[in-house]
Amino acid sequence: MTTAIEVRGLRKAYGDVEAVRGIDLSVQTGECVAVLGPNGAGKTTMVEILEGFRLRDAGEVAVLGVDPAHGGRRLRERIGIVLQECGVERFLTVAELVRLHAGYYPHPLDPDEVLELVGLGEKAGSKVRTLSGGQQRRVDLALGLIGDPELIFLDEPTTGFDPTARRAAWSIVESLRALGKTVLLTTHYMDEAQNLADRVVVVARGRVVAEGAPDEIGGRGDAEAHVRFLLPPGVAIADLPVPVEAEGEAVVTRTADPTALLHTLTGWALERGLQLPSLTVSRPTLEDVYLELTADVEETS
Amino acid sequence: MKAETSHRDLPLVGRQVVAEQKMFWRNPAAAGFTIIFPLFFLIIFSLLNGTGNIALPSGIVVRFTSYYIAGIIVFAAVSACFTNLAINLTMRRDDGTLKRKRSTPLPAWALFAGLLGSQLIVTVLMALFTTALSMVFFHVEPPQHLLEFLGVVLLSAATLCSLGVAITALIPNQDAAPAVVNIIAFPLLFLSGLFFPVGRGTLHDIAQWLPLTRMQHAIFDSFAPAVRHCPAVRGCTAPVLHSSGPMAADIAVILVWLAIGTLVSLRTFRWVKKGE
Repeated sequence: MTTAIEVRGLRKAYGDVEAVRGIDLSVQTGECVAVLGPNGAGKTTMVEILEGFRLRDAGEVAVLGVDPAHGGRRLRERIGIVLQECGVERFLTVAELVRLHAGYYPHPLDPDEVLELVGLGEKAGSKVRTLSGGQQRRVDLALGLIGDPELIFLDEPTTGFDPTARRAAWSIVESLRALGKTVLLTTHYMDEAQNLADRVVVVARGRVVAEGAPDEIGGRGDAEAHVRFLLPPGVAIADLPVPVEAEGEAVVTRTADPTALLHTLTGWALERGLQLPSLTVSRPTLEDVYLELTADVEETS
Repeated sequence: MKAETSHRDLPLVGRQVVAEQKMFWRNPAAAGFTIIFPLFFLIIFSLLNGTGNIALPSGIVVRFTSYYIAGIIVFAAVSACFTNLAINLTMRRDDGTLKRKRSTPLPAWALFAGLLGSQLIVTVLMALFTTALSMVFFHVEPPQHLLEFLGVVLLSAATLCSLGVAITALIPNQDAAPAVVNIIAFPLLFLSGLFFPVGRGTLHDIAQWLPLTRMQHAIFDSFAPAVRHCPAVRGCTAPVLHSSGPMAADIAVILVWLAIGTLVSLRTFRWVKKGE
């Protein structure tokens, strides 16, 4: 497998403030990696260095085998960038804009197909200025995809989307992955990272503090499961076949083997004709892990 | 960064020009101010002074509207190329449109070539339209040297575009853009004698070095209007009317301003708003 992005010892300071303090990162071709981190953690700086918008102070960076500081036009023909809050030619129609951008690339996708893909087929003839915020974000996505890039940077691509639009955007990203594209995604939504990413990288204080598959990062894979339910009427904690702790109105028990524990617990309840109201089994969510990893970071911007 | 060009670049610039033209004519603020203001000035002042004559600093007397049409064309070029371009670019810089362009393979020079081409089209259209209007309604004769006329209009427009791009470095944000641009443009319009001749003296001497003065001179000379009265001490056989010398001197001064505008633009232009 080849490497799409390779970063070693990346550093960048603004005056006395070190925004990026030695980041290592590698992204394989065809992989979707989500970068998570609080505002001011250095993730935007890192991504903008990869995109060629900023120059680094130190470290080695290769994007599709090319140093983005010197990649120029040839590199830009191979990557797609979906920026946050980025203006656009508002007096052009959606179709005119996407066709204009298609002309910038040597082997663009079909503009009509891209508009269908992002769900703007019916808006092709509308001026961009008349679109809603969510629709304009889809224009961003269309412009990021039109050049048929090998590598796509998505900077918080679904911020401001309603739930339906987010699901639609996710399915677009999934279809990109099916085509073998590499995706580097930044997001504040844990469910987005959970759903889309093969790997999650958590950046805080200018460094990578954890990385791994969404289900395993921060020890999630090995963490004990929490089994929670409400006490059935007339049952005391001491009557239960397993040790539990009270947690508000519910009781909770922790176990490394939830299958066996549930078997014991539900067998006991069925024998007595009891219900276990609100029974759930959960592991720490990605959000729980993320909050723990970034707990001591103050929001700086 | 090394220049990277390809065989696809010429059509690329063509498509940029078309896109810029669509954006210009569809934007009521851009098209309205650029078109309406010069026409407004042309009609009002021509109606007020339509049948009168005007004495130039050289002593030669011509019809007022023959003098005025050259100033109006320069004013239209300032509106399209300096004012409109500077405000438009500042807005695109602040709202991130320029940053998005940087994220694509579109070369910077192609983006600016598209803008330049579009503003040149607007300026030439305005020059032809105001001239036609003045010929029909205000007794202005057609330019006697049509090629020189078009050449000077294009050169003036290109120079004002370069100065319009250069000035964006002085504009802190898009809210300030109209104020900064107009504070520079309006005194220059008057100082350069676009609306009435500046008498001899220090102001006149300064104005000889300013681009608008020279643009007006050169366009006026390309019209070469009929002389209505000649001072007794000078011969007026050829219709070269200005005291500032032949058109070549005007062109030289304009070229210097084009070079200044281009160099300053290349060194100071910002793609994103301050603090980003």
